[in-house]
Amino acid sequence: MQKLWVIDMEYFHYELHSETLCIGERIKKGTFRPTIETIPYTQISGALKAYFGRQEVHAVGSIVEYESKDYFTYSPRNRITNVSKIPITTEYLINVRGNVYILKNKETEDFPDEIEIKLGAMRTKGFGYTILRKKGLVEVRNGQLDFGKLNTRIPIEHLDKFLIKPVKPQYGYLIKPLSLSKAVYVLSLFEGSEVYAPGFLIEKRW
Amino acid sequence: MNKNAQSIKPEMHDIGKLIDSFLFKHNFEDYPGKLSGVPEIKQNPVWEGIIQHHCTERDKEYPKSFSTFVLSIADSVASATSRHVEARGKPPRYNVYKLWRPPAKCVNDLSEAIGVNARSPKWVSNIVNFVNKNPSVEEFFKIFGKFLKIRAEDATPGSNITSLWTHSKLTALIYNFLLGYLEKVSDEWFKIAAKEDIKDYIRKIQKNTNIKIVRIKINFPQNPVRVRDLNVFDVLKEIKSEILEKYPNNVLFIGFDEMLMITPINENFEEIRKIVARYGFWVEFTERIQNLDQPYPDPEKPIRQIKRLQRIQQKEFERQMAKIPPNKRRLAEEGVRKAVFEKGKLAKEINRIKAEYFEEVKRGVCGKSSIYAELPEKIDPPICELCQMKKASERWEDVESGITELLCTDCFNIRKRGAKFPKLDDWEKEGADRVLWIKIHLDMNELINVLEELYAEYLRELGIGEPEKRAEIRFSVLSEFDWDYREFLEKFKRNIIEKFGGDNVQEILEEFISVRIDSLRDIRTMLGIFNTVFTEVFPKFKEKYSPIKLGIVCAGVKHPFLECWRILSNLRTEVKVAVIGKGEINLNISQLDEFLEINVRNKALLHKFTSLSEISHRLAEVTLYDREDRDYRRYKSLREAVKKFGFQNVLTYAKIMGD
Repeated sequence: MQKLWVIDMEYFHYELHSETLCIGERIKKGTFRPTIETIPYTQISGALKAYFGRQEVHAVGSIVEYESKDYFTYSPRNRITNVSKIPITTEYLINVRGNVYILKNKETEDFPDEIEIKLGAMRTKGFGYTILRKKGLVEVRNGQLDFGKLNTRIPIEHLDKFLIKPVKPQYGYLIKPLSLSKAVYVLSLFEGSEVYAPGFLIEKRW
Repeated sequence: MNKNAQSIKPEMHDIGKLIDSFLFKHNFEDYPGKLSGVPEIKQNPVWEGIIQHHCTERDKEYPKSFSTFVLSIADSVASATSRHVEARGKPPRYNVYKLWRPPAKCVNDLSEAIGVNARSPKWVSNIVNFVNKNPSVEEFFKIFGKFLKIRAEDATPGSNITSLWTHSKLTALIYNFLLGYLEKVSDEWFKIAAKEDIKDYIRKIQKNTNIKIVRIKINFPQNPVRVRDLNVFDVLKEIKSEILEKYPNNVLFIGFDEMLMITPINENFEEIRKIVARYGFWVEFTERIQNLDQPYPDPEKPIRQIKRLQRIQQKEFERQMAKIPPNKRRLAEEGVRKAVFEKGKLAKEINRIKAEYFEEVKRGVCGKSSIYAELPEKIDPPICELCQMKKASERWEDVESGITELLCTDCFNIRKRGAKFPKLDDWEKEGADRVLWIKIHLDMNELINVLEELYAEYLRELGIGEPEKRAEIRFSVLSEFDWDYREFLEKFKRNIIEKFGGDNVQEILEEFISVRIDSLRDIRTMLGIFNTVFTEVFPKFKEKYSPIKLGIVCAGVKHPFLECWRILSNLRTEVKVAVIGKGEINLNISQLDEFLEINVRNKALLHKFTSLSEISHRLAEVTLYDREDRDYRRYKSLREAVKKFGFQNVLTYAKIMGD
């Protein structure tokens, strides 16, 4: 058995509210885009980086509850030929409540108490308007890690920033932008993985 | 002589239990006793196994070769109980007491139990002549199978919870495993050693030999969207068969996507990794190192206990919240939550078990992990649309719609296998309106929980002290359960085919079928079929809770399958019916009888109720209780149903019945 992490870390805890949120997976069968039910590192960190124009922002999130799921069907139009493509049905969550944890560092310590960002897919259609309200600062002390199921998605390369130690990992890939036009998929730990991690990243029940 | 003829054929070691022990012991050491006119024993390896498979004070005979020594240990590992269960002063019970379906009466006479005169010289001669000819295992089960299924392995009241059939099969599996695992001792030693030395050696081996009990779960990353993607279930079936082939003496239990295995402690599952890697699947495993004298089938006992306690905590939380007036609940919630989940007696117990569990993890007694094939750190786009685990290198063109999908080689090959489930293809082409996706899920943890409770109840009835402590569930009970579980699945499928016709039923896996339906009302029929078969096979689960869950998703034939699968692969209630676009029903199996009796025959009334709900659920609910409404009296049965089952369940049911 390896030794657990022995580092102190601090995270800003924000409560998340969104009326309509679609954190889309890849489109299936060319016509259907399902949503996931957590907030991956790449989504929330990317949104915050874009909003504040800073680089060293590391955040993860999870969804505590949502009222219901619904579907939105639209047909993307080819602007050159002015012809509609096959309609795509997108799944989205309604009235979402969740948590976001941002690693405290020089670039994030002056983040305001309330942040309004746009998160997820179909932002041009009015989806993803999200309010983050600061709840406080969470300190994770030496060896104070809980065991259980991870409630978020996070690239392997950032596990150390959130003191996550996989036990029974469930892997997947998250997209990481390299530039405005380039991206790569990076190996990541997905929700449901059994891990040692700070309590806020663990599902409450075993 | 071929190798098979030289084997002791461990399956037959307890054949003597089909003869009344009034005549002689089941290991035949005092055969023929006072019986005359019966044939002599003609020694062969099978007789060796029968005569030498015990090593106790009570028995004169004992193992005199390495094979019979291993058999003696396997017999003990495969027994239903640890032999500490004794109901004093009670006559033996020869018929099996299945914990989930107890017999109408307990039979104290072997002849009555198995339906032949088990004391007659003719019956004894039959058995002795049979063994004398050194028969095959197949012959044994063919001729004596029906008696083995009835006769309890151990007729001691309280221990009679598994059949001789299960015990025979399990003993053989464990024998074969141990034969390759235990350090070989020369037969010469057994010939010169005293009985006491052999007894000590058996005790030492049982105490000091470590084995691993492993539960594996096979996962597929593919998100099936097209009918052809359902071929992943075909692959799952193949993977299970391949694992069985590679580990013929290790697999104790097979579920939908789970397996329970007994392995050497140094097993690293490389063969399993190779098998699943070929299809891009991955495996989770949980393991526990145990001694041979503690053969419990549950590598995750602490986690199972914690989950059980958390469920009690949740009920307690709901009970306390229900006492608080609705307008004060929000304020009080935090306090109640703390009191129940952090400060209560159960919270302390959970913390104690957690601490113990972490200690075990530290000592390396138990562990868990996942096995993946290959995991590159980075993948350049495009990524496979189905599994999202590999680079997409193939293009799948759908001729009909012109849509192109980018897939990895694994997913492409699975899709390319062709239509493994042709009826689904036909239904899609014929433009079928709706299909039901029906999945039965067996929760292993819940199974052990409920069997422990039922076993404790049985021991309590017999007046055995400390029933909770003694009610240990071992491998044999799970194997016994497995027979009935398979029978249940078979009956359920058969009844569905009888009702809906073979052309309208497509079996995907034993526990997963699809049915083409004409009307939503057919969902009620399906629930009725399930309820009847379940009550017949597992009546006792209805009194407690059910480890068997039923998931039904009703969707249009072209509805993306992954949506249906997402619901079916995460069943949280015992019965879940999801009608896409209409609503859900979530029930316990014990509620099904009453639920199916809700009297909602008037279609016009149902239509009015469901139309109101489309405007507002609240409006529909209020209307049910509105004395001014002209249908107030006619809504009586719905009002009563809402009280019992909740508004959402009844509303969905009304939509189904109003179709």
